Amino acid sequence: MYLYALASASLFIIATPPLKMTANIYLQRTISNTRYTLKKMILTHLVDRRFEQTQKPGERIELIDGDVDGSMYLYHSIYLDVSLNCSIIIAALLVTAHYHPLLALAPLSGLVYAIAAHLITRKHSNSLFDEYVQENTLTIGALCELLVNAKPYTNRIKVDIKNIERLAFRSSLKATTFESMSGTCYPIAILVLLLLSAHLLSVGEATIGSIFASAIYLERVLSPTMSMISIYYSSREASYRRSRIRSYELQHEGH
Amino acid sequence: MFICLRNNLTVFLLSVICLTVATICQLLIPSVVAKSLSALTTGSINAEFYFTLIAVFLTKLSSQALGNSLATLMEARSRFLLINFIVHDKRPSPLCSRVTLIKEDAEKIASVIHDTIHLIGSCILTVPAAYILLQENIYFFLPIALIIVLTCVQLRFAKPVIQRLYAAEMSKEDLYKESLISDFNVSSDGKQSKMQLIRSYGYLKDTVRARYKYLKASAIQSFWPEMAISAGTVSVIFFSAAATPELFGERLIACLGYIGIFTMASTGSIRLGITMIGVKVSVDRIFRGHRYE
Repeated sequence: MYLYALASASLFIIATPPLKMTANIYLQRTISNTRYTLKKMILTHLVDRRFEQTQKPGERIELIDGDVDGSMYLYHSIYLDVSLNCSIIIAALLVTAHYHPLLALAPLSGLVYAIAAHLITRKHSNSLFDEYVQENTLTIGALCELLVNAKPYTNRIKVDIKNIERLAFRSSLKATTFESMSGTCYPIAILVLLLLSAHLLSVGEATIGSIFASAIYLERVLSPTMSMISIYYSSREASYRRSRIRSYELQHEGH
Repeated sequence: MFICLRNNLTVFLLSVICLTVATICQLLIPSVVAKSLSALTTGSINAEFYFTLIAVFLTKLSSQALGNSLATLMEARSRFLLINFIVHDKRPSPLCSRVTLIKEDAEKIASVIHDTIHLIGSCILTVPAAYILLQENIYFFLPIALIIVLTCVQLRFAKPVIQRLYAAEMSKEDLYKESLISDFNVSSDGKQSKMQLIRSYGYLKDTVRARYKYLKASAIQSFWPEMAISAGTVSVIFFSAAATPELFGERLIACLGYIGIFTMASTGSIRLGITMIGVKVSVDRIFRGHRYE
């Protein structure tokens, strides 16, 4: 039995790198197609005379390349990451329930807490990186203007750059703070596990081994949960960039 | 890249310290939980265990939040430091090339600096993890040494391929940016602008294809060291099971934890190493042999 478990674990470890590489190459090929389609669409929109364009050339380059490259994760890779994390959560929950159905309550309580905290903070996090991205686009436009005119930095540009640096720090700090609020699910889940374990040990319905195992699986449930919440907050900038891309698609549909 | 580090040394050190503290706390958590469960089974559990867990966890969360934000600040500052150099560089260079340097090269270098900070935070623990593994079992020495040697040899062979593909991508980017600038400057609405737009689509396709080739090559080059790490991990498990049965049990679980830390950090280092090989081309493109003061 132990040998079979060991052999399966070894097979899984050996099979992971080729599977990862195949998935990575396939994803890159799909991403390339989407990248080309989106950049072509935005470029067509930005040179279309039917739509009033007020941006400087540098800003337009940022809108085409910056927005598409910056939001590409949300078009393909995110689905792979989310499905992998969901599979791990479900598998770990099932294994914990197999030891004792009540023990599954501990990771479930952590999961519910993390989701609730995420839903509460979600509304405040929607526009976290909007100002940063807008300022960045304007400044890149202004910097390209300086290049065209071969002029040095103006005082205004220096102030704008300082402002972008400040916005980058502030937005990131807010995002990680919101993420941390969901992250406090771990002590909650451990507390539930300790209480349940005390109860199950007192009535003799669980062994010490099964409790230790469920503590390990608790980590296996909460780690991918936090990973998904982290994906959400770290992709806020990408999300805003994608919303800008979608606005061009809507304008085209409107015509 | 050292210029960016030198100019933002305080932010760099602070972010590395915060991320290291976060990683240490992350490693402490399983030990605190295990102690709590052991105390529970012996009936000697008290609230102190739980308060310790909360303290460790809150330290981890706060240091991680601060470390992440400082790394983002470092990335933004590095990007604008490089842009400052590009804009004020007196040496002659085409406009499209400078726009590519600002939009692509500077962003890629800054992004690598951000990733490096995160990796340093976790890599500081790789050396102690490798040391603990060696202390536990001398059989770990052979795979660890083999992984390090093979990775160095692999990176050496991968370097010219990666740099050639990265340089090809950047030269395509130059042409594409030039065509974009022409697109935006064409005033007429007629045949000339349409021809120009079709030309831009062609350059865009070439650029996207060049990037795909570079990313595919990076994935293939990082596959072999990752495969070596996996083979090393499996060989360690089997050697431990066959040669040292006393390790094959409770202690093996602890060893596997350290192997996990070592594997993750090594895989991350290889990927970053391959990215850095490519980004070195961007550093050369920006400074072109100029010594930054």
